Parts: sequence; structure tokens; C-alpha cells
Amino acid sequence: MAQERVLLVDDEKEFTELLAERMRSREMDVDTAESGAEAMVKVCKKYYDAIILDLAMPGMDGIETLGQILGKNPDQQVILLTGHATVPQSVAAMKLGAVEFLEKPAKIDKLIELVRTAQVKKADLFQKRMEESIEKVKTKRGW
Amino acid sequence: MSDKEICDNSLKFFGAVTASVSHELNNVISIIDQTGGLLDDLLYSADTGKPVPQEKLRSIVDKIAVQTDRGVRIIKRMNYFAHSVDEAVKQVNIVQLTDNFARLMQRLASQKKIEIVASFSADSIQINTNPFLLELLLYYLIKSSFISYNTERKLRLEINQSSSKVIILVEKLPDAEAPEISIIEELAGRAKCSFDITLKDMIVYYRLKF
Repeated sequence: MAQERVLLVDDEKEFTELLAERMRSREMDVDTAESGAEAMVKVCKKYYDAIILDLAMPGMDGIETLGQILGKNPDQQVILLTGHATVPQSVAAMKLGAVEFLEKPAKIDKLIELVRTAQVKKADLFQKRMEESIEKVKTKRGW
Repeated sequence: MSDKEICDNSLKFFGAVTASVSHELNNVISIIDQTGGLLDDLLYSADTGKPVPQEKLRSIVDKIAVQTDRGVRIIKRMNYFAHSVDEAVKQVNIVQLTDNFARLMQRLASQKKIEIVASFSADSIQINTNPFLLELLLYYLIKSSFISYNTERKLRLEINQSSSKVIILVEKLPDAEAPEISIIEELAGRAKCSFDITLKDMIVYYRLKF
């Protein structure tokens, strides 16, 4: 499997730097963003297998960021990693399309496992979309 | 505002502060947890023959110290706040109370890109008040300014003392909705102060006079 590309989004810079360092030592390609706006800039420039997103951030919060990320790419795998989310926040995030919800502090092994699952799922979705497009062209052309 | 309404609003206020503080403490613990994890990674690496540089260990120790200090400060602020319900009316250092309140509120304000800038004309000013209801009153006044903005903003909080009176000024940000005046006047009365609205340097302030 190719190197996993991950984006960590959290306004706690110290936290994202530590987590990024530990993930990089496990051969992952990790970028960080301190806000939803910065995350959107990075998402527009690079393909990520998984985005690990905090819910409570200044300005554009996690739910709004999640909505924008999935609006741009509905197949994007987003894992929410947050402090104490309320039940309505958790429900809203899962309804929007977050693939997993973890509470801080989370163990790195669990995060790595989720990122790897996300990578496989995203590759499967990509394959499915390709097959659908080919099928559509075939149907249209009558092959 | 009836006693029951005061009680209900006090509980909501206490809950909002506790939720914010616990979230902030959870962030501190998460950073210490990741720092411990990094140390574990380095020990594992050392076991496989890759030595850990001294400066790397030093930076880890420093990170733990910084976060421990941060956690202690948060707990001290929460403890001071929790004790404000101990007595209905007592003599308090209003500078310490307001400074502690501003720091407690900063996390909630930051979510809306607002920085609370507190300034005091003295280090210690003693007044008689109901400390908890004064904090609730200040919360009502600043909460109305907690609106999402695209840009960062500052919200000023001042205490000025003259020979005869002490005045707390709380800035009203331009787009903020005015809080319900009858509630503010009721709380001001219970906190042993009077309330009015004033204009200073083209900025609207809520003014509490003791």
C-alpha cells in the first residue's frame, strides 16, 4: 500500500505537531492546519487519504469545515478527534458524513488503524467511481 | 427576574464555564499524553540501537513542564471561580475577580475570534458585592458580543477607580445585540452596583458603578 497522506486539523498547535511527528515516524505523509480555513487551502492543493479534524476551533468550527470538505469531495474520509463533543454535535457530524468519531486523548495505534482503513475505503470508492464513469460512457455510446 | 430564574441562569452559567474549563484541561492532558507517547517511541527506537539525542529529551521535558503549568493555571482559575458562591455578599478584590473571570472567558471568546483585553487602574480594589452574581452579570454583558466574525477582534474590559467610586467598563462590540436591560439591572442590584451605558472614545461601554 502507498504511503498514507494525512491532514491533521486542530487549533492546539502543540498537539498537532506532536501527533504529526509520531505519525511521520511511522512512515506517514502528514500535514497540519490550525484552522478550518487553512485546512480548506491545503485540501484544495493536495489529495489526502484521511483528514483528522477537531470540532471546537475558532472561526470556522469543525462541523462547518467538515461540511465544506465533503462539499468539495463527498468521498473524503474524515475522522473527528475532539474533546467532549455534545450528543447533537456528534449526530450532526455523523449525518454530514464523518467516518469515525474519537475522543481525546486517543491512542496512536487506534488512529493509525483508522487512517489505514480510510485509505483502503477511499481507494475502493475511487475504483467504484471509475467503473461507474466507464459504464456511463459505454451506455451512452452503445458499446 | 425571579429567584428561580436567577438560580436557573446561574446553573447554566456555571455549566458553560465548567464545560469550557474541562475542554481546555482535556487539551492539556491530550498534549501530555502525546508527549508521553513520543517518549515511548524514542525508548523503543533506543532499544533497537538508535540513540536518543539529549536535546530531544530536553525538549520533551520542557513540553511537559509548559503543559503542567498551563493545567495548574486553569485549575487555579476554576477553583477561584468555584469559591465565588461561598458567601452571598463579601468583600472581594474586584481586580482579581475580573481578571480571573476574563481569563476563564477567553476560551469561549476565542471560539468567536475575540480576544478579551482587560486593564485595571490598580492591582487591588476592595468592594462589597455578591461575587458570583457579579460574574454572572459580567457574563451576560460579554456574552452578547460573542458573535462569529471573519476577522479577529478585541473586547475591552476595564476597571477604573476614582476617589468616590469604582467603575467596571465592558465594551459592546458593534454588531452585538444588547442584552435584556431588565435582567442586567436586576443582577446589578443584587451585585450591589448600578448600571448604565456610556460612550467613550466612540466605543459603547456597559458601566457598572460601585
